Amino acid sequence: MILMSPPFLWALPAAALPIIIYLLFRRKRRNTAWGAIFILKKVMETRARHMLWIQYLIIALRAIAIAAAALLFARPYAPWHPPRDGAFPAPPPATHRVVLLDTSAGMQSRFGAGSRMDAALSVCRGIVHAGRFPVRVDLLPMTGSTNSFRSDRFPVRAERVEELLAGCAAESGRIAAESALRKAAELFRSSPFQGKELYILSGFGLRDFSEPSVLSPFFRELGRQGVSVFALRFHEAGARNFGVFDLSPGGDVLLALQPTSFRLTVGYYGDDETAETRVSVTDSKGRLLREEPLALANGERTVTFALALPSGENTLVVRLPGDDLAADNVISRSFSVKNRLVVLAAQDIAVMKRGFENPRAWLGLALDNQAKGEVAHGAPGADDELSNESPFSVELVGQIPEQINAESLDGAALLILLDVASMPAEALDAVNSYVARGGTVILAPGPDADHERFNQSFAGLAPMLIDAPGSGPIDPERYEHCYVETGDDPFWIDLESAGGANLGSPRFYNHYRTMPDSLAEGARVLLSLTDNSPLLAERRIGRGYVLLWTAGFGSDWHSMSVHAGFPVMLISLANQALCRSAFPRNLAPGAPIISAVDADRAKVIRPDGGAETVSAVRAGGRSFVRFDKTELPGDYEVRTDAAGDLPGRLYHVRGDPGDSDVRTMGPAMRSAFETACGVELFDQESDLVKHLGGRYQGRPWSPLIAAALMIGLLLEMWLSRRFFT
Amino acid sequence: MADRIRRLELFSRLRVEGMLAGSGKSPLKGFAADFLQHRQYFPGDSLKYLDWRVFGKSERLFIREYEELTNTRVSIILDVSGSMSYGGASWTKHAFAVRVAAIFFYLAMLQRDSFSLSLFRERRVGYVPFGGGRQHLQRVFKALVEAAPAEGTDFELGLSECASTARRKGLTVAISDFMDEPEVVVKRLAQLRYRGSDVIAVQIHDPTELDLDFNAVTRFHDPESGQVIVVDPQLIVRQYRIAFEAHLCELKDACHRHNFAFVALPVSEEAYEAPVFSYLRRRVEGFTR
Repeated sequence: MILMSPPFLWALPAAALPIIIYLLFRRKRRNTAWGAIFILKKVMETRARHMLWIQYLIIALRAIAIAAAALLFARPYAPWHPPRDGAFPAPPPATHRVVLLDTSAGMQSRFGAGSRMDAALSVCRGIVHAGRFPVRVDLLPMTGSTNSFRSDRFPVRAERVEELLAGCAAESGRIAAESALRKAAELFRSSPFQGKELYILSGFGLRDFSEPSVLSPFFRELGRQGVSVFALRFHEAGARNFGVFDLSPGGDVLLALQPTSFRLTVGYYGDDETAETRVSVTDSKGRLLREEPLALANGERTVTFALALPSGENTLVVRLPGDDLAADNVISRSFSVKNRLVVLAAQDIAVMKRGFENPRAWLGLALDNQAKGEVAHGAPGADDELSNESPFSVELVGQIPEQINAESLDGAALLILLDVASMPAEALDAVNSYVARGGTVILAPGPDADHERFNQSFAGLAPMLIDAPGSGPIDPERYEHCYVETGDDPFWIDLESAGGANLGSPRFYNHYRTMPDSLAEGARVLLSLTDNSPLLAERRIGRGYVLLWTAGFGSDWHSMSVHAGFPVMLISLANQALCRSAFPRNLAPGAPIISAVDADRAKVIRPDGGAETVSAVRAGGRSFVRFDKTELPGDYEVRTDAAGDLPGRLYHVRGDPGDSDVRTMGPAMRSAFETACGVELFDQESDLVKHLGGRYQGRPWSPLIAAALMIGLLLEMWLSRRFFT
Repeated sequence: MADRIRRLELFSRLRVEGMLAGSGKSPLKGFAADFLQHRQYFPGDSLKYLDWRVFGKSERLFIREYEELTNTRVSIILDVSGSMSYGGASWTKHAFAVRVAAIFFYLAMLQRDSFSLSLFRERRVGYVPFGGGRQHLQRVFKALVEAAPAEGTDFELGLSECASTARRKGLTVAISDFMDEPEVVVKRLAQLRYRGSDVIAVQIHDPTELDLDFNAVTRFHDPESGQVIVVDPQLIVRQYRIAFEAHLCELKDACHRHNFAFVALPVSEEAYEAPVFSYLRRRVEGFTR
């Protein structure tokens, strides 16, 4: 028995008062003569002894009543015992329990015989089942969702419990601890219940709880509201997870059999500092394209390798072996592989030269050589199939500016304006439309272009305005090299490297200077010369891009044209143009899926298996569907057949490496969290139950004592009235 | 002694005369009158004695004549045992009983009845033979004054000896606290009834005897045997009161079964004569009905 107010036990000796008073009265004896002794004797013979025992009983009841009253004020409680059969402890009456459930992807990782989510739901189930009226239980996902799942009718049916758990678990997403704690504080603020308990069931991932100072104000607010907070962590020692997040060649449109550098982003998260795994890449037909072991340290790593894919629609699947979290071990990426590239080169006939003085000759030579390059082979065993494939071809179409129109531009991956200082208005309009709809234009004024006329004509298109060339006669001893300005752009990093265009190698003897402060809004310099002059600048207009090459494409001012990297750069630029003109298929979370369709509507299949029908809109003479609800990472499919049953076009949304990070707080971070937030973190449900037991008081005896006291007093009153009045 | 006798006589006279003044008619006629005959009405006769029932039947006026019961033999039997010595705030039971007896004697003298006194404890301890008149009243009062309550009680022997003097019909008034088994008491009194005497049993009790109002353990002394009983009155007060009431009821029932009157008189200084007088009036009404 536990006494909440033991000092009141000092009143226990007062229970002897009735006995003392009785004895004192018995000591006082009167003497009297009595004329009715006859009656007295008769009564004494029959009832006196019996009445003596009743009087003793009454005195005993009075003494017990005083003792019970003293005990009542001492507030005794039966010691708390943990519930049987592993059930969760029931809360004291009038308690509001709120459970914050981590529904992030990391909770699907292995934990014991099931997953972390299974274990967390088991605890939730116990909490809900333990409720006894009047108690309220609210389940909140920790994603920042405004939905809550409540039960305040107890006992609750098993079906209803499962309904609540399933509803809460379905609200998956990244942890938004601040929003969840704010929502919990709001619930408690408006709660009519006296007792308040908050349970946080989470993996307490490294990334989500690394800043306890951000969360501590919320816990302080909860403390001010009198909320008791309990945190249960789901993490197994030795947990480890590999995840594959992205496979990207820089664009979604590739050239047939063109070796393309693919960047594979993988991650490892575990208690060990390093781990090894094996990655495999297969294509749509299941052919193994690549397989290699990987040694990874904690965190993400990008691995680069080259693949050459045959023409057509190709979906590559990257796989990792099974581990604690299987959902991130496989990704798919779809690419359109083109076998034909059309480059439109427009030249001002007035300044057109002949032979290799004509920059178009160098273009043609470079593009022709690149197309005839060797076929890259994929994994061993695939050579026979790939050998039957034809590499991409490049068609260089020459035109004069007056020939440029929408029809000639349609289907062109790239438009290069060689030495063009001005264009007819209709052609310029066609170029503007072409760019706005996603086309790429390279402005490459050469030595024969009039820079003033150029600026006048292309001010609305050019990323920068050009000025007179920097130097007059070419001095072979005075030259510049170029370097990549956009250091984090993988496209240019690849080109800059020796395996790429090796852009640092060619020599630039002259170039158009650019006017100061003429960089258009949103434009950027991609390549610069070592004299800090821009060599290549880019400007986005609509869906397309306009590039300005300030050194011309001929051999007048640089050795780029004869450099082996020149065709690589051109093809890469053309490939990039192709990618940019197409709607992406490998997306970041939240990026819209835009797909050209031949129907009025399309059916979009989501990664969770759900489907939505989207109506098409017409733009530029074509129908498109747009789907924006791409927060969920995974594979989406757009089906355009009437029934929506035939396979459609695949789109892929990248996952968040944070979802794969199954690491939890280390000892130091855990201690910092517990200190800053005033919350003790438990790793075992049994420890949490034991801790609860230390806080719970067990069943109070006061109601029993009060009831017994009332009964005793009533009995005493009845006996006294019945026998002694 | 003489002074006490005079005071007793004065007390009884004043009480009786007080009853006469309050009632407005003679208790004599009402007390000891019996119907004798009808006679014709003559003008001047008191209309109080007109028999209206006869007039209603016959339309003739007749007067009812009564026979005065003279020479009724009134025998008072007084309990002078030790239990009668108990007294509460006012008189003792014995003193009260003496005054009640004095009233009876004075009434009897006024009616020119002959009256006697018997005193008993465990047996008859005093006897004043039948007689009448004032001088006899003095003798009876002297015996009353001289009697003192003491010793025990034996109703069977005492009443038997007292009853032996009532050989002729008359009125016997037994004054006692009757603290014995009711059947034993009433059996002896019934013998008088069966001999033709009218019997009135007057039970005297002190109101404090009924209450047993004591807070502490008390040593109760029996004034007759000297026995001491120690008892916590709180234990038995309710049962005691019930037993006392039951005892009185048993006495009353027993008396009624044997067809004689029972009067319970609590000792009281104030209006103790009222129950006596009201009972006597009832007796008269019973005679004249």
